[in-house]
Amino acid sequence: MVLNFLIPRLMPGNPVSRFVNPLMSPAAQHQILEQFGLTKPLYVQFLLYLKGVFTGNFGLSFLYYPTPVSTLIVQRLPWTLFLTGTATVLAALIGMVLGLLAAWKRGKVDSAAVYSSMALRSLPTFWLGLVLLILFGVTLKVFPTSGYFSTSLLTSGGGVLLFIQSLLYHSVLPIITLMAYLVGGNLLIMRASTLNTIREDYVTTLKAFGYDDGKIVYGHVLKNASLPMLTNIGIQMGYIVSGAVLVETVFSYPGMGLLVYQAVLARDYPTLQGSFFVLTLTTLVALLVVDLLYGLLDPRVRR
Amino acid sequence: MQSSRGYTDLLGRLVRDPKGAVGLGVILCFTILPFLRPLITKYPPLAVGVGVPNEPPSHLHPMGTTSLGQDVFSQFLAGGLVPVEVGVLTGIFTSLLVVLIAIPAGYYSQRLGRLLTLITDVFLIIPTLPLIILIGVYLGPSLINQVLVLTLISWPFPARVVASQVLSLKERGFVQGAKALGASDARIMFGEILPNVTNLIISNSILVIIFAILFQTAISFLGLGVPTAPGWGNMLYYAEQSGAIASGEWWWVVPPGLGILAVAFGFSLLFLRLEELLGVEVR
Repeated sequence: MVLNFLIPRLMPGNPVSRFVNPLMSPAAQHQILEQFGLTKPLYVQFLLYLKGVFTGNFGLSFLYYPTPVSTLIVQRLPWTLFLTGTATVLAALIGMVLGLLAAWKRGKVDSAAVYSSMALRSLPTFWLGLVLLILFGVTLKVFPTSGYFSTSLLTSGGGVLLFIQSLLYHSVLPIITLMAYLVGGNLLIMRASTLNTIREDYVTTLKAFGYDDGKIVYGHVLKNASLPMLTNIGIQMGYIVSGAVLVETVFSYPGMGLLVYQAVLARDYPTLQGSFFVLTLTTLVALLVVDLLYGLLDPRVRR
Repeated sequence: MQSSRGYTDLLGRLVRDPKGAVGLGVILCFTILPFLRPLITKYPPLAVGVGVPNEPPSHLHPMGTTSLGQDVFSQFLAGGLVPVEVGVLTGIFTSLLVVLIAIPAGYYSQRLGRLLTLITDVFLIIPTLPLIILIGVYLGPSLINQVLVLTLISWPFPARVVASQVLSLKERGFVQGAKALGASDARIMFGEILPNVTNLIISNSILVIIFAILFQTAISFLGLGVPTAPGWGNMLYYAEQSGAIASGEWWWVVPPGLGILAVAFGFSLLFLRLEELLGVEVR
């Protein structure tokens, strides 16, 4: 939290230069600084910030003056949660199934899976986004190139269903882009843990009793082997937020990532502080959810 | 314990396997190409107006031209050095930090080891890219600052892995023996323990290099890199800025990304091969 406060303030560049005109009188300049609370000593600014954190009041944005930062965040956060949440869950499911198959089939399927997931992890996320945009957005014109729903729906009315359809339609490319890296990582982890699991005695026993492969894999191996992958999802959180910044910038998707990026460029302290705080909090909550899921899947960690 | 002779031998075994050979080959290729560029193409990478602006690939310009009439092929050839440089330097700096921090931390106390765990947990929660951007903006745009930022972000994870390994080595016979013989702490840490965690540090540093390459290009793409450095990330930044995406100029966008993919994949192959050779399990 202290870091959140200090880092934006250490940045060079005057945040109010966009409001303060050099032609203004010094008194007028001072008045504007005062309005943003920037004339107060640093420790007073810090205490005000602490108070803000607990009351959900992060001040007014410099960039979107006079919109409060909390309003901006409330507007933007759902979109980022929608993108990252969908991408995380889909990537987990796909990685799980493919990893399981790779480990079970071995041989050519396995090495193809390993190399392609390594390639997926070497892909720069934003570049994949750019290429998908050019291919499907510009050349083939199957998917929209920016935004989160068709603005024409606002004027023409349109039903809730149309709106949802438009939302999904706009999120296909961003979600695929975010997923690519995650699927690669999940596949590798799932494969490794499946390989460990099928070596265990109970699997050999089941085989000896003549259970068929499908039953063993989906009934027994899947659940046990997916535990390390769940841990991996927790580790991926930092990447997911970074990925959201890049993907939202590429697709002009109005979420938290784009907000942070714009705030950095504009030296918008209050927005940066607020966003950092909320993003950190969101990651914590997500980690908590992962922990709870872990307990649900593995009775051994329950007390 | 491996001598320097042991590591020359290691290099030989590294390239005897297709994974190692291809990985190392790709990396070296893109590191050397920037220097061979003048022999391959007559256009300097940043020279403006050497061709008609926004032209698709042709005989004269095998990868087309940019909106300023620059030669994309020439930029592509020149663009690999910056990401590899930043990546490798970050790998080296991180490894040095890990040696200096993780070995004493693991050796002296469990409490320091736990502190490392705490730091990595904090880094797990903090949004990585926004943090890199912020520190980067604060330090100002230069390649060495990019290395510093990326090092600052990437050291805790390998440090945690190495510290826990040191913790278990500490109880082994050879360390206890050295202690009994009256060896100094420094002698034990860097003479006895370090050689036993070198493999772990090397393979972790390759993961750091991959991370650094991907993030270096990402920062540059966001326009927060070094504007004058001829890197692939910058190419993509200028392409996006001048509307190459909206007008579908794929020839300007595809090559730099494939370059990054190739180099990062090369390091991944190297990592796989090293893991086989050194017999370390990372993670």
